[in-house]
Amino acid sequence: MAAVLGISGEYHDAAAALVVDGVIVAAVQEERLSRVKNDARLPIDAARACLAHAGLAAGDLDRVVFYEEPIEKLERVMVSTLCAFPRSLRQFPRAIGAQLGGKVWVLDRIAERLGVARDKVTSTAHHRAHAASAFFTSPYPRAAVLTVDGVGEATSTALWHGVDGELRELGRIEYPHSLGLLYAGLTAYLGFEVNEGEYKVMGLAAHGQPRLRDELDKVIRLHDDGTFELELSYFAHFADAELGFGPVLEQLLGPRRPAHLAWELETDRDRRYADIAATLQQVTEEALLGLAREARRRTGEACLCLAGGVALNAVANARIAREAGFERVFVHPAAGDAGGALGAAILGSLELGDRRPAGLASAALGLPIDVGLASALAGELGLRVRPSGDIATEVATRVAEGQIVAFCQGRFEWGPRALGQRSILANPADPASRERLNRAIKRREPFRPFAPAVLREHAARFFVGADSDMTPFMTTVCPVAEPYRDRLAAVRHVDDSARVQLVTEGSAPELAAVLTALDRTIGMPIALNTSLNGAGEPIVANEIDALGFLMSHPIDALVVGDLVITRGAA
Amino acid sequence: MTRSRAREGTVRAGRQALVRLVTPIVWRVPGHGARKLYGFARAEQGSRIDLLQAAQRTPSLARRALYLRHALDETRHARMFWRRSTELLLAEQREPFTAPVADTEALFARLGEVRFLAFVHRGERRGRQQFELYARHFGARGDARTRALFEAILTDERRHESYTRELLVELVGGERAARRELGRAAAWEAWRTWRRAGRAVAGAVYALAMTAIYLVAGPIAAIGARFRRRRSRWQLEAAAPPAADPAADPAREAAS
Amino acid sequence: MSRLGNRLRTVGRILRHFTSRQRWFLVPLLLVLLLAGLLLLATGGLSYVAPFLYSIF
Repeated sequence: MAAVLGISGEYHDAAAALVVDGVIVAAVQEERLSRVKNDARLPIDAARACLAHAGLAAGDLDRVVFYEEPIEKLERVMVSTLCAFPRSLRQFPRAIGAQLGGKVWVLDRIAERLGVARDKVTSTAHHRAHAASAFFTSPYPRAAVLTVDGVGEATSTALWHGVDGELRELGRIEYPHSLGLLYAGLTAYLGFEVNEGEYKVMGLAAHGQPRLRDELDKVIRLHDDGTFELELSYFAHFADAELGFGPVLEQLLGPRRPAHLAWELETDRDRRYADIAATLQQVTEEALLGLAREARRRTGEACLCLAGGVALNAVANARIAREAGFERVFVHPAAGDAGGALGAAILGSLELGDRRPAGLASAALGLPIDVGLASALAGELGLRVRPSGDIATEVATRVAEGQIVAFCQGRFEWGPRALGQRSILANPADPASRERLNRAIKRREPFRPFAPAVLREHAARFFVGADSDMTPFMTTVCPVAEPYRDRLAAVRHVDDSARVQLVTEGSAPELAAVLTALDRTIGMPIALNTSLNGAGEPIVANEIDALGFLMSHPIDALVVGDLVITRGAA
Repeated sequence: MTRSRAREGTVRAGRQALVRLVTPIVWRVPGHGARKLYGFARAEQGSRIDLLQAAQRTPSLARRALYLRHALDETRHARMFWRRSTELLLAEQREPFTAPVADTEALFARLGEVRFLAFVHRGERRGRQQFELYARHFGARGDARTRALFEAILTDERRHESYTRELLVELVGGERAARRELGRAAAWEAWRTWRRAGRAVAGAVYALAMTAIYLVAGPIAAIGARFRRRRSRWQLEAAAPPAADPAADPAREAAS
Repeated sequence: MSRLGNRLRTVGRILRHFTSRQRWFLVPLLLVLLLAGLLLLATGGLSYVAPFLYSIF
């Protein structure tokens, strides 16, 4: 019977997760509270919020587990930066400074700032935390587990065998050979921000053809045993961490894309970049397939769990589900570093004798929105507030009319996807809504698609293979069924795929009710579902953020609980 | 009390005169104007985060609404500055800056609401004075667009300056107490500037020391690396105990 | 005071880590770096707000 807090942070995606008596009580990303996107600082606020939510004090914690081994990390950073002499000249002071100036003392700092005894604060291996986040939240009693990211302490990829409450490592691939760093390097090359732009590259890929395979085969070599090798001369992890790729890559692929240029996919220039993205996506998929097949070979399991930043690549996940030979595949909703906090907490909990948690039924692990406060604050701000007798029908009616409705219910989501707790809903069959959303509200590149949320009972009619373990958390893509490709133009991508969210009463009851109502109004229990946040901002967490969003974006209404809040006469 | 205020007034006047002198020269440097505007964008973003956090933490509903509105203004300002900065850079055929990202110092939590408010008021006043100068300067230079930008933002800044002052007086209960708080905020700011300067110096010394170490240890490591095989194949964990890692550390500590 | 105690214990752990892994050659370097790190902390610390995009460091 233990209370364990898991912590991730210092690098990116700081988060805290609380597991009490083997039950996941809360999990919160620091950015949601601090309003700083990708906040990497020690998530003390998130930790305190988790404790408060559970009605616990810091002194009640039995253990606090950090998601990485700080000393091993220090060792790898020191050794790798030194060995890259002389290119790493500028990096060395900064890297060592970051380590010795704060990162290596992280366990002490956690103890001090949280008010927990130092001997209760421990750490676990980075990839083990990822593996735990994937396996122990999956519905599988046994599975193969694959963790793929940029780099932890020194590992970039690891293979595990999970059986009940045990995780055994079968093998690892070490830095600098890393799929995450490959993808990140090319993300930077294409002019996007690293750790942010990878989604965009994935979206861009569908607009191109994998024509540059010969070139990329020089950059990464795939072996038969699932391993891969980066040709390091193309990268510059040591010399320029901001770019991650060197001039040799530009000699191979042409000049990098300047970040500020607007995308025009009809031009040859941008089509070539799209081709590069498509080739990168293809290579990454093949590398992951190789790894997955090796996992199957070594474990013989029918189920696979994925975690690590690269597991956020939903398109690759779909391919793995189809071709790797597993019957079922699960991806943790917060597959990136934030998930490590939850994995670390679960590991600590198992350590102390608790049972592993039940499979994740919903990603609503954050803090609840306060409807009363929302109403009071809206009044103070001069907004119109009106309780609705039948909120689901009202939302559905508005959406059917082409309105864009912000939808806040219950506890906010864990992970980067909005799953009906902090969503923006629109009509999936209305291209005008999509246009307005992309241009005026989310301000994204034109090639980025939106995603549909669909009721589980009817999903098979509209999407092929939508009933899987991944779709409730939007971690995979599915082809749109042929007859509906035109009608669902606003929520499918150019290759006719969609990142579907499968909605049930259990996972998101309020959204399920809206979808049921939408079935009556537009004939499809489908809504366009995108995250409730402005451009460059973290997803909305509480009523203050939600009202701020309403006041600064041209949406038609904000729904909080059963309240409908609008800016004026509506 | 009055002497320090007079001194502060002189310092401020001196600084303004300096700015007035330097501005026309400095802004002619290519790219400088855009960089300055981008700097303002970042400052507005920082202010925005601070105000959002204040809105989260303040116990009063009325103040929550005020801080939120203020934060939304700062968001708008940041975007306006950034856009203008981008326009200027593109006009000079230079690469524009990426979206301004600001950091937070968690000022509300550190200073408490009263001093935070005093600090914000001082910031708004300083901003307002700076922007008035720049608006005049750009008007004189004939750059109507940038002048209009500053004018638009000034409307908000004046409002921010006045409401924060009124709120401060209300919270501390009187004009004198408010002035005292403003003085304390000024002192805190001075101390912060001092610390930042100290950090910058420390940083430079440190970088020098690190570079020296690097130049000694680097070649040795590089030669050593040459003899190490760079494996890309599967590595197996060497006789690792299954899930025992977290337990080992505290047990060992307790024993030692 | 207990802060210093914690940090010193961590220094001990760091040195133990490097000696146990037969990375003896790194120990002198580490000591110098730690000294520099202490100098850092003493003069107020560096604030790495810089966008370490890869966050591998």
